[in-house]
Amino acid sequence: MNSEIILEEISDYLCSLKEGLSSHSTLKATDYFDLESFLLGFNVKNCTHVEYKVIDRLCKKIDVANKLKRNYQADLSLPYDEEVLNVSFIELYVLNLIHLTITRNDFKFLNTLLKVQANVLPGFSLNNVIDDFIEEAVLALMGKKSQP
Amino acid sequence: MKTINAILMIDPASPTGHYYLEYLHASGYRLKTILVFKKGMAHDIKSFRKKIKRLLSKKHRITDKKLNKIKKGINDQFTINIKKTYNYRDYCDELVYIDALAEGPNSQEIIEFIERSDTKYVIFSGGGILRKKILSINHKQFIHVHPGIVPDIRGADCFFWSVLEKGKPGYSCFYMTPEIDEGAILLRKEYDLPNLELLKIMPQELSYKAILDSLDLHYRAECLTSLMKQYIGSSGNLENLTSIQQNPNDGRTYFFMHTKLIYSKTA
Repeated sequence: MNSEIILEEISDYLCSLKEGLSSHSTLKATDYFDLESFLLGFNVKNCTHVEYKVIDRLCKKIDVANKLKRNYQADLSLPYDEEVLNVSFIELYVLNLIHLTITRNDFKFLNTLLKVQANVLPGFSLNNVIDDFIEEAVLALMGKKSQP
Repeated sequence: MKTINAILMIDPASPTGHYYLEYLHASGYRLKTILVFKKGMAHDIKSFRKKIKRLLSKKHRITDKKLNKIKKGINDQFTINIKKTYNYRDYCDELVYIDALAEGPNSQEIIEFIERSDTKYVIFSGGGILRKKILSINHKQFIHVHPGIVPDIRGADCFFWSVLEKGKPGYSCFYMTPEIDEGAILLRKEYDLPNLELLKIMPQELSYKAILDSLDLHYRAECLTSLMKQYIGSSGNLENLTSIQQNPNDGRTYFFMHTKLIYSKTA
């Protein structure tokens, strides 16, 4: 499928997913990073350099830590508390990652997506639609579908 | 032979140090000191059991045979021949063995030896991660060769990331700091990949292992030797060594590459 059509489909899916979500942060501290709020405010089509760095930094949480937390310390080095990120927000992050993988031809992001596909995040499994989007990203960058 | 006024830290279980020795030797260098750190009896027994298990398994024997064939194919592309065993005394003025036990290269005995030594430079050839305690010894600099052009390519599996992102392997010599791959840069060098048809017909997981156990080490050793050639003075000291500070915010950190990506893009 054409990349532009895929990107449009991802954007539509992102919008519909965001509609049903809101951040329920009750923390008052200002020295932490609220991933839910970040993802709700993030527009992948107008991704700034700073936002791109945040998305890039979060890859480590999947690739190495195999966990996405809801709150991190301000520099994103360590979790702020033990609360895990809600499944819908993980989907939001993954969709943004797929979009950036395709638009920026980004193999590092694709690598993280392949690990998500391999179920490295405990308690999270991809739904068929997002799984198909990842396969489209694989096709766009690698020129062929991945094999199981 | 010119003696380099430096300590080379070697883990006998890791082949990297042997490549360094052979490349330096071929360019007319020997080391002032080789520090061999053994990881203790428990580690030796574990590794001995593993070796026996492999020898007794037919499947492993076939795998090892294929692996050695790929490694030989890689090594044949290079003029420098890496031996199976090394008598370290032939490559240095002073040979020191330290039983490092579970602490590996960070053991107190190693720290104390380096502190006492009048040698400023320590070349680390792997066998663990050096911690802040050893890296912050006063007036000492630890040199590492990383398989990626920093700051662009930091982290893990960087040989493969370099080939994928830049089309060729790149290497950096830098001073080690507690922050991974962020130390001041001494030398950066890129290499052309040899034409290795053998890698295309062998099982992919074996090619992956052979690249890391052989091809990568040739380039690392060549890069280290280039650094020495550039900076070793007539006295054997590293003179006028200039370094470029890295900005931690520059570049990118990569993580272990998923097998699908390794096999489809870097094959």
